Amino acid sequence: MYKSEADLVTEFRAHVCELWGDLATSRIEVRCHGQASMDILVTTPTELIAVEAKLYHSRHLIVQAFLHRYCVDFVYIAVPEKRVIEARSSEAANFGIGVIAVANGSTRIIKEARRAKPTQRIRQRLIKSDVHYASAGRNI
Amino acid sequence: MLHCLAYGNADQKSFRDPDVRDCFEILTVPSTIASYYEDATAAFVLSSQLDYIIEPRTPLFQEHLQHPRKSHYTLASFMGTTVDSRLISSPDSEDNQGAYFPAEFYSVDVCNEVVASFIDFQRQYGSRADSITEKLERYDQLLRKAHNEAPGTIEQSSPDRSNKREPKYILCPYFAVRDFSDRWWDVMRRIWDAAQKVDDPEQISPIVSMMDISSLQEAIEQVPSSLSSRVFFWIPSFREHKVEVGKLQQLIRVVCGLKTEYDLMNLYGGCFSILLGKLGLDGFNNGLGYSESRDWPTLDSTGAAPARYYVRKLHTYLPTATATALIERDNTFACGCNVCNYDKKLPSDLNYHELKRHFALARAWELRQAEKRSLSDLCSIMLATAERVQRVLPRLPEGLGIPSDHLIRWAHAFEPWLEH
Repeated sequence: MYKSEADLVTEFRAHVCELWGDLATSRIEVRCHGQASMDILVTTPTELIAVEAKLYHSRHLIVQAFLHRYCVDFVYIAVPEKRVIEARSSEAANFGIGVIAVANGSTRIIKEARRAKPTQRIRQRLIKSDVHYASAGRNI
Repeated sequence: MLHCLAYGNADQKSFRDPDVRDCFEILTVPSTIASYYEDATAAFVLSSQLDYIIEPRTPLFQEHLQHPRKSHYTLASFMGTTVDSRLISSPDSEDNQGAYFPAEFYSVDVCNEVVASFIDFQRQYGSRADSITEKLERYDQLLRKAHNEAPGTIEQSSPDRSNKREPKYILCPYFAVRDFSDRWWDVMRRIWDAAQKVDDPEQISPIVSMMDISSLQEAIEQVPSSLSSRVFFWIPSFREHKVEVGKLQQLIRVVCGLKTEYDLMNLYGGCFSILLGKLGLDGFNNGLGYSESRDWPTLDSTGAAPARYYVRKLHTYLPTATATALIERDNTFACGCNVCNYDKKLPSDLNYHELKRHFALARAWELRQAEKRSLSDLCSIMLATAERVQRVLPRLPEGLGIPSDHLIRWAHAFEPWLEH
């Protein structure tokens, strides 16, 4: 089991290309709306994906992830495989949020996210900041 | 009802906006900003053509000031040499000690000095225009530019006003007081005694702070009658959205009990204060998107306001994404102001300055609603809105934090005063 959220995030990021293709990149703690940040922002050539990664599958996690739907195209929550709670996964799915089970070597999507309708202003800002990030050579 | 709107350093652009300028009567300038950005603030304020007041912020120099900022040092320099020296000679902030100003520090002599210095600072503020003519011209041009960009604006309709004008009201230094047994109450008595000694004391507005609301009326009544009857009050940590019905009713009783003899102004208030205007409150003050209450003793730890959206029907702020979620579920919470493009723009579409402008327009809308409706109608609307929120909540993730309890509490608080 992961000792910290940072361990979980590191493990998850190692599997980003398996989940969304070789061109997918990720970065952490990205400011999105208001004072909120998303744990991980995954960028593919066509889409932005937010991932909230936590050690416990709490209800608050769903609230955080839900609000990211105004920023990106898809939103997921990522929790250790052994701590996935089915009822919470269904609740998340009701709000269009996908669920990812993180495990050593077998990270997988167990509920697909529904496409969100992000605010274009915020989405564009995230894309722009991603370009700056990449050009600074710190991507992945 | 007089609406004072506090100016933050990042708000200059917003305060040049004709829409925003139309939404309040008096610009409140925090003395920290007035003293730190001395010439720039004076140029901005004096060229603005707006009525203004300078908020003393003297509770900064009450008990511990742990991490003095540069603006605290500059403000201290306008509080008289004794306060200034004490702050300068206090241990470095890196020691985590800061400066300590116990009640005993404010002797009769120090109170005389603080009051004389700070009243003089306010009364001389307009005369700064003579020494900053270039800056005044530059700020004047910026204002004109902002108005030309929006035709038919207030500048064309308002008469030319002198740049040298004094603050609308001269505010007396003040400190937070818990109750009558608090030693700071004795300091306040010395402060008011000192205020009576300066020229034209009848022009000086006292600020009465009392944490114990049950003592607020008596505290205001103890202000010397030679000072102005326009009295500002501050109830530390009184959050209109959070306090229980009993405390709200205590405040209502204070306003009802004093409205004939005093022009009462709430130094930190929001929509509940607007409603109090129906029962005699003469005015209130808040920031452009912040400061509807102020805690004690954390006055030195405030910072820039977060970007958030004021949901006018809820009379409260929400994070922009949360407000967007609410409006998407129930469009009756959408705003009809021109910033929100008459309900076509969602909160998450708005940038920082648009959020500020939206707040100003929302506040003006609240004031208009209060003016044209009876208190009874306003309370009924609040109860109906709270019910509406309850109907929306099941369609959103649990714990999203959309409040409506305050609306019920406010409506219940006014119940005994409604004309049935």
